[in-house]
Amino acid sequence: MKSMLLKVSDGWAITERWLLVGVLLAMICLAVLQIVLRNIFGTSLFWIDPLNRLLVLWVALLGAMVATREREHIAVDLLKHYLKGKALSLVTSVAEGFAAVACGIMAYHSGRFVYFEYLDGMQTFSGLPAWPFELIMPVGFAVMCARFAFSALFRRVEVSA
Amino acid sequence: MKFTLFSLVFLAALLGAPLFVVILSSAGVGFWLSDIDLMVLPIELYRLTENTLLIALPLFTFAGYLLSESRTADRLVNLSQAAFGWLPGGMVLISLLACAFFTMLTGGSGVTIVALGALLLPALKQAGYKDRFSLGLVTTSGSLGLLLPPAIPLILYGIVAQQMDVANVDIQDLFKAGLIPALMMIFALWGYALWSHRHEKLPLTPFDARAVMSHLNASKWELAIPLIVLGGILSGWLVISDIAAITALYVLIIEVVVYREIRFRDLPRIAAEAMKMVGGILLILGVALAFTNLLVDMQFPEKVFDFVKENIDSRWAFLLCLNVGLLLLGAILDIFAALIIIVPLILPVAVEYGVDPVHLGIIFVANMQIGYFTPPVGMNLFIASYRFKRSIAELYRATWPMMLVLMGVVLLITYWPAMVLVFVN
Repeated sequence: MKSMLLKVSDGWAITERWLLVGVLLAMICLAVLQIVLRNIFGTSLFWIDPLNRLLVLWVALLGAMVATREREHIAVDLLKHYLKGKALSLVTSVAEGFAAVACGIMAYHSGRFVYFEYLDGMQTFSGLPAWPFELIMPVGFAVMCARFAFSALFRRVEVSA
Repeated sequence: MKFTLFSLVFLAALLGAPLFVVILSSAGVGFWLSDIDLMVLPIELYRLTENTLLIALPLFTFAGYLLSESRTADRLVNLSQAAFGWLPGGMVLISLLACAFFTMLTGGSGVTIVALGALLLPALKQAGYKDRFSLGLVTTSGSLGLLLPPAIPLILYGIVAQQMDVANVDIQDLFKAGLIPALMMIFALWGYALWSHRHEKLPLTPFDARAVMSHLNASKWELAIPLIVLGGILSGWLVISDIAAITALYVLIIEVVVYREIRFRDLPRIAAEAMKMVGGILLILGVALAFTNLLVDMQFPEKVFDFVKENIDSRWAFLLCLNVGLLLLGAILDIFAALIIIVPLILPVAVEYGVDPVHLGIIFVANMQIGYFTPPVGMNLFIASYRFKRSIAELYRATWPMMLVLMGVVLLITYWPAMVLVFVN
C-alpha cells in the first residue's frame, strides 16, 4: 500500500515537472511569436495574450506545488534558524498541519468555483469553456494539502546548515 | 472567536507556515467573520490572469536561472578583472560590478553569492584585502543590482502599484529611476574600500588591452543581454513582457546552442527550480489580492492613513519613519512578500504626502536591499554562512560597516528625489 502511494506520488511529481516545463516553453514561444507577427508582419493572433495570461495562473500553482514538495515556500522563518532537533520537528509539523487545513479549505472552495463556472457555461477566449483552465486551482490546492499533511505526519526535518 | 482565529493564524506565521498560507487564512478568517462566501478567495486568485505584466516574472526568472547554471559568472569576473584590475581598489570594483551585473540578471534570489562568492572571496584575499573585509564585501554585494533592469523587485512593485489604480506607475520609469541610485551604491562601497585600506599598499595588475579584448569576445553574447533589456526599456519600442520573452528565448539559445554549457536534458530541472520560486511569489500575489480587498472593505488603508496623518506632520518626517520601518521590515520579511503586502498600504499614504510613486518604489527596494543582510534573518547572511562555512555572528561583524555605507546612500536617495527622478519625465 505504502509503496504504491509512493509510486503514485513520484509519478505525479514527474508529470508536474514536465507540465511546468511545457507551460513555460509555450509561454516563451507564444510571446515571441506574437512579437514577430506584430512587429514584422503587422498582424497578431488574438488568442495568444489571453492564453498566456491563463498560463501565468498555471505557472503559479504548478510552481507552488513543486515548492511544497521540496519545502521551499517563502515564510517568516524567524524561529527555524534558531531551533534544532525535536523542537524544530514539532514546530515544522504544526505549521505544516495548519497549511494542510488552509489548502484543504481553499481546494474545496476552488472546486465549487470551477463547478459554478461549468454550470454557468462561462467562456474564455475563442469561445472555449473557462472551467478546464480553472481546474488547476482545486487540483493544485488539493495536491498541496496532501503534501503538507503527509509532511506534517511523516517527514523528519533534515538538519540544514 | 474572532480573537482566537486571528491569533491562530498569527501563531502559524510565527511557527514558519508558508506566507501564502498565512495571508490566505487571514483573508479567509476575515471574509468568514463578515459572512462572505469563501468562494471569493479563488475568484480573487483567478485575477492573476488579468495582468499581462505578470508574464515577465517567470520569463526573466527563467533567464536568470539559466545564466546562473552556466559559466557566466566566471566570464564576468575574468572580463572585469582585465578591464578594471589596474585601478586602485580594482578588485573591489570588480566584485561590485560583477555582483551587480549578475544580480540584475538573476533577480537577487541569493544565487549571486552562491555563483560568484567562491570566485570572488579568494580573489579578494589574494589581492591583499583582509579576510573580514572580503567576507563582508561579498555578502553585501549579493543584493547589489536590485535596482537595475530587469531585476524582479521593481517589476513587482510596478505590478502591485498598477493593480491599485492609485497612480500611473510605469515599469520603464522605475528602471530609469533606479540607474543612478544603483551606481551610487556601487561607487560608495568602492570609496569605502579605498578609504578603509588607505594605509595598505595593494598590488595592481597592469592594463592589457589584448586580454580585455579576448575576454570581451568570450562574453560578448551575454553582454548583449543588458543591451536588449536597456534598449527595449529606453526606446519604449517594446513592453516589459515582450522584453522578458525575447530575453528568455535569447538566453536559452546562447546557453544551450552557442556556449553549450547547459545540456538539453538539464532544462526541466532548471525550469522547475526557477518556477518553484516564481510560483511561490505569484501565489502570494494572488492570495494577497483577496487579502487587500478585505482590508479595503474594512477601510483599513483609511485607518492607516488617519493614524499616520495624526502623528506625522511633514513629508520629511514621513520619509524618515518609512526608512526605519522598511529597514525593520526588510530584516524579517522577504523582499517579494514585503512588496506585495506593504506597498498597497503605504502607497496611497505616500502619494498624499506628495511622494512620487516612482520615487517610493526606489526607496522601497533600496531599503529592502539592505534588509538582505540585516540581522536577525537577512537571507544573504544565511546563504553566505552556508556557502563560506562561517558563523552568522562573524558575518554580522563583517557586514556592518558596509551596511552603514549603504544606509547613507539610502538616506540620500530618500531625501533627494530630484536626483532619483532626473531621467523620468
